[in-house]
Amino acid sequence: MNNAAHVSTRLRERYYKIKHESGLTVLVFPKKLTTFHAILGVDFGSGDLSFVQNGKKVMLPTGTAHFLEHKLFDSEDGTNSEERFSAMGAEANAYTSYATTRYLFSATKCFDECLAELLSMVFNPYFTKESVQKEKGIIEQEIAMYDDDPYERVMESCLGAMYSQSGIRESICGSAESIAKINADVLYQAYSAFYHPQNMILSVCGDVTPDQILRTVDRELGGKSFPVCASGIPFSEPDRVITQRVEQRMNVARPIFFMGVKDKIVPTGTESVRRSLVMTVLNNMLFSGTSELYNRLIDERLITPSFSFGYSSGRLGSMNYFSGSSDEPDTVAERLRNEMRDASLGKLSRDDFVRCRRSLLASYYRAFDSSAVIADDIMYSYVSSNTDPFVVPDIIESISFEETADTAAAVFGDPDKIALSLLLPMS
Amino acid sequence: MNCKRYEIGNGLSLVHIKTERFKSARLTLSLTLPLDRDKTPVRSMLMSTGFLGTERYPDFRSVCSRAEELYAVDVSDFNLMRGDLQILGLTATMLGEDYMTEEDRKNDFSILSGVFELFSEIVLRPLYRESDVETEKINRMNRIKARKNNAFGYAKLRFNKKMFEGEPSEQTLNGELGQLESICREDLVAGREELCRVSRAEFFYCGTEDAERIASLIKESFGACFEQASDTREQFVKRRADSVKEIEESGVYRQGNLLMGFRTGVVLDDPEFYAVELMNHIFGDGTSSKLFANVREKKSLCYFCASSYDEERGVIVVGAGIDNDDRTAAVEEILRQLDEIRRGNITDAELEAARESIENDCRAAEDHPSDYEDFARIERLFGGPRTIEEYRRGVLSVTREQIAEAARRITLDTVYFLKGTLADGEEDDYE
Repeated sequence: MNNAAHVSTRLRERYYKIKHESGLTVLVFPKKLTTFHAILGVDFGSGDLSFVQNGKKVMLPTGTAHFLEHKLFDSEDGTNSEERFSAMGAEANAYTSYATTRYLFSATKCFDECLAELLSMVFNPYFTKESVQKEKGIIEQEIAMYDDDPYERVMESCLGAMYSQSGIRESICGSAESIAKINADVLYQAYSAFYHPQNMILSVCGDVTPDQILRTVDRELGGKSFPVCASGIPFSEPDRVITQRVEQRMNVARPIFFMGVKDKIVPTGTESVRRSLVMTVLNNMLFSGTSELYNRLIDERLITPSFSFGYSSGRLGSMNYFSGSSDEPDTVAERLRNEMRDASLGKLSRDDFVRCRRSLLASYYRAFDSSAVIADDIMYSYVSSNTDPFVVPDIIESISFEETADTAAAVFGDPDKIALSLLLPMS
Repeated sequence: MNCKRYEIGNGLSLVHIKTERFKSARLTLSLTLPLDRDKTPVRSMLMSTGFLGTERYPDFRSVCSRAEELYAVDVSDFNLMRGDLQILGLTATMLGEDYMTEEDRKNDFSILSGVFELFSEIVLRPLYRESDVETEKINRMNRIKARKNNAFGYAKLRFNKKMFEGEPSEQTLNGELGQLESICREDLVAGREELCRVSRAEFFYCGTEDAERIASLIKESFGACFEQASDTREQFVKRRADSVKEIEESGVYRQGNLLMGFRTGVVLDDPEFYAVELMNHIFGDGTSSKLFANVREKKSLCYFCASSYDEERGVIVVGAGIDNDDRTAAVEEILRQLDEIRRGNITDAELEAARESIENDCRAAEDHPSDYEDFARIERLFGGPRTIEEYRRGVLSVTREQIAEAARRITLDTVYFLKGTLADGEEDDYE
């Protein structure tokens, strides 16, 4: 085992990154908090809809990764892991994103037992025809709930307008029609393709030691064999969006908009993390409460304080986005486009840059107060991007004004990379 | 964590926790008043409009810039309804001063002093310009109009109107469109002055600083601005339902949303409070509950079905998103699970899981200063357990028979169903 301690004198923290013999990457962040938080993530999400295994191409119904996440809580003896976590007072949960599926628990005692349960649950799948059928009723209601959420709808249709090849154009839960095609065989097929320790990270934060974690991992994974991990089918996503504008009507009080700016997919690694951090600084300079544009739009009552923006990146797609409600969504979209164009031409303030970079650094320090945030948002996210979380402050400080301006030109410079999705009232 | 309350004079108090546990510190100012049908909508605007400009920071942009200068302190306003009380104020999470730059430390720069000054600007020296009041009014009116955007939230709002009709908590914090339309700058100016006269002001701090320094900063920033308000409580509690109200309405949604309201007859400072608390956990609070295990897992009727106990009003509310056709089946199953508890049919596993869940929440509070803040605030306003430990011991001492007894006392008051009118598979309108 390769056991390396990483120390940050600035943050006054340390963590361990260990490659277990099964292939599992184990991250341990000892922290004197009462709550333990552990997360086991697999590099397989709702957007992974086709793969090659043993030379054969396989297509999955939309919603498979999410369905699998629901069913992994079941055990062969008819019980489920939720009951066992509850008996220990732990809170267990799971969620599926476009590129990952994560299983987690939060507890204040019985840490070793909870960790064993988490590993046992994920590495001992058990699905039957009946149990899969029964789950469909639950997931259909989950789909209906999201269908009634206008912000979910407007975002999903924007992704559909932006992407033609990436799986992120499909909804995470799938549809009633697509999940009707899922059965136990489909779930086992997806499981055997991606749920390999090599393709997974375990991240733990709390009052624990690396040896303690490794003992449990050894016990649960030792001696197990795993099939060869499948490989996703590479796709080539056009640089520009497919459709620049989509509209839907729904039972909403006033128009809701979601605007996406397609960015190139940067392979995971420090380059990708760096680009995300630069974009965070840039977004805050241009669109936050301290920006001129935000205040103008609020003063003119074109947006409300619920206006949001951000940058997200991953192996299936990277984008900058804006979302909110407005009686004049096209005017807002035009102002945002103009601001992006000006920024891409170098119209940026150095003072804003310095303030926003310093602000990002302070926010990063503040994040180290919660075992859940440390295990998931910081450790898991950065390490899965092949980046040491402790170098993030150095990266932030090394971001220059010139680099920010160059990134603005690269991301905001082409209007054909922008898609606008509108959700309009029914009458 | 050791949590202590200090009376610091001039109508102000401080709940203080000294700890080295976190890299950040939390500061909150809570101002509490009784709900008032005419005044609550104006009071709801005071803090958020204060953010739009103060004497020293004349617009929203300069307020935000100041927050960024203070190492990106996260400052926000809040406006809550607990029982028949309105609680509004400001909260800030700030970086510990240990993490400031060498230069700032040398120059005696203080994040904490800066946050106090920002709080006092927003509360004591807001500009309330006519245009800002108008902007804030329009934002709130849009929020009222947008209530239907959230299907379950809208169903909950309609349910509250029906269940609490004629009671103080029937009202909403933002009021209704008609009330907002007539609000003007003078209303906010008068509302803020009255806030200082009649509200109960309390600070909460959790961080590395001693209580003496915090008390001194409070005096320096707020001095004698608040008058001593009394702690008297006038909470309306309806102990039993008269009869069951059944209401069905419809909305343009795919899913139906069901809400059921029960009167428990028990509030925070009643001796049976702990039994109802544990009973609610077994009934529908979390994945080990009877509702999750049966309505969701066994019957596959929903994605979520959960209950929550409003201990100030003595009410339990169950909510679920279901298919329209499953309304009767869901209501029957929810009532069947309550009957199981009434008959004492609670497994050892269910009882143990509920106790463990509560114990876990109590221990986890050590990592969440906001839990201590909320606990101290509710204890002050509504009575009940004085410490988290007292609460934990109280709940753990409850017997199975006491839980069944608590469930037997519960009466069903309201069944509300918001039927979704969009048929399955029907697209709204896609272009």
